[in-house]
Amino acid sequence: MSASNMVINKKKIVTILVSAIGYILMVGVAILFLLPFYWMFVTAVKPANEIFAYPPLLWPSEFHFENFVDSMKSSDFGTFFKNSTIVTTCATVITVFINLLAGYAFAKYDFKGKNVFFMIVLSTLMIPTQVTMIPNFIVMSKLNLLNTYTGLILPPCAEAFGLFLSRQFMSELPDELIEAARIDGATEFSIFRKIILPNVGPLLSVLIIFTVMWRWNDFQWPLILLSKSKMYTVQIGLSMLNGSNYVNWNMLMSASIISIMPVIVVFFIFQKQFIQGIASTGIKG
Amino acid sequence: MVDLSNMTVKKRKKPPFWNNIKIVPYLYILPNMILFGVFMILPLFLALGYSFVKWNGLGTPKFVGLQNYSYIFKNKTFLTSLFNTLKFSIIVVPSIMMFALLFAVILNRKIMFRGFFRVALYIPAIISMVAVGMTFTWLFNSKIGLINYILSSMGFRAVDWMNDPKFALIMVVVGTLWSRIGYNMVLYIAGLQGISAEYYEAATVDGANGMQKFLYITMPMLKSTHVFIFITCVIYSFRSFDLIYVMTKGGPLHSTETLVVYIYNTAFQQNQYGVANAAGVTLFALLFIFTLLRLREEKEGK
Repeated sequence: MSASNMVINKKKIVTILVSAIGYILMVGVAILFLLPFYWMFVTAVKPANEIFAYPPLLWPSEFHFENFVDSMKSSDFGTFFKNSTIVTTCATVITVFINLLAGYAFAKYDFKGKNVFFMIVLSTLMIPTQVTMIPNFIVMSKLNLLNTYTGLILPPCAEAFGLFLSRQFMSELPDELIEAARIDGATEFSIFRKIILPNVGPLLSVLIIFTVMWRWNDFQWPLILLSKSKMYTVQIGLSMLNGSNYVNWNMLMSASIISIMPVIVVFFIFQKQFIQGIASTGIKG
Repeated sequence: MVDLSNMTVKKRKKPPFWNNIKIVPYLYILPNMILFGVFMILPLFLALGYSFVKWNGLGTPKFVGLQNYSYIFKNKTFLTSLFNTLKFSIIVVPSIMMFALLFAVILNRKIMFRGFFRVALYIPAIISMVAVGMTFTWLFNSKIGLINYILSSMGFRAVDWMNDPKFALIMVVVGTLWSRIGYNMVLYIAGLQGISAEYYEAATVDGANGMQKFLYITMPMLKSTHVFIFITCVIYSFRSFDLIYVMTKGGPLHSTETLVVYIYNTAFQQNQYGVANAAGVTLFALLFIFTLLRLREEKEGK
């Protein structure tokens, strides 16, 4: 009796010990992961002279929140935000629309060559954008689309993630819904609009969130395409602040914080769909 | 009978093309297919074509055969970048997988503030690599940066991260780990939740301890998750550009110049489009062979 009790107790102690170690580890890890954010914020609001203090001040003597306003005023960040907003919005509308349509076609229609087309889509996953970026740049310059919104928006729209996600989600919708509407004489597009669209809410939010995040954060393609500063997106504008010999860290960190705010806000609004989205597809990096 | 004749009448009325069930699916996939064709498939062949010419962006391209390929494989900068890419992958991929799995196993248990921990680890994954690069450039500042301060207060010597070829890559690796672990952790959590609790219950009855359960249930059951994360992490590490470009632009002395940075510099700084495309095609070939081999190994394993 007592021997088996001791075994159980020992097991309990081990379990508690393991949990405690895991807990302490996670607290440490969370601090490490949040530290860069804390340092960004503290640097952004420090008085300018305390930036260069050594040892670094972990807590500023006073908070200068006007640094955020100043960093926006001192360069063309208003323009960069406008450009990024236009590109992100248009790209999101296009991506969502064409992927819902194509995903629906692949999920719910039978047509000749369906598998071939789908293999083509699959194969594009193997093509790194770094290989296509040079020819795309050359084509864009031949078409006079350098430094234009069209050039910024269109090429990265060729992306298989949204299509896969849509196809996967829509193939789980019952066929009976569509068949019934067809027998009632609904046109094909009105089936899509009135039957399919109202039933894909979760898919829609995941598509929107990921496209917004991805396009807002996009750096490589705008870097190649843009040479005129009035067309810069937020990411390009931000990266240019680091170019000179003298770096104003106050400004750079406050601008960085403002640049990540839209994505952070979207994340906290749609947190659940976000996590579910990557968990269920895992395709997008 | 009457019904039948009615039906044939109905059938004879041909619907317009936009409502013809045989044509509609093609219309629906058309926009996507055009985009894939124009911005993915065509450029891939163009890249292959350009890799056989000598061209600086102006004038007419001159056909040179395989000269660009023989050039890059004798070029020291290219070979260094190839080596750096491999080094970066070999450090980054196992580190990401190990930490992501460890944190996933812990955060899959019902511990306090689990949601908070998950968000804290995941948030770096959603912000732009430019912002990540800026923040880590500042953290790693050699004179007044926080990391050197912490190192020197612990008794280590301060490191000139930005200018020392021995250390610059570490900086990029740390930034990459910070931004990628949380994302892969979420994938592992999804994988862990797919394992039925019955296995663990049965193992408990048989007297297995935690370590045995992890080794003989968790690890084998996560196999497809491992493969997926491994492939995507390798591809990701081979394609990393933003962070490296923002932090070091490939320097100092090419010590952080990866294949992708080499391609960018060769094309857009030196205007050697032919050479850059040859390097691009090489990158594509490497990733293609890697993915095929890994997938085939997977199939044979099953």
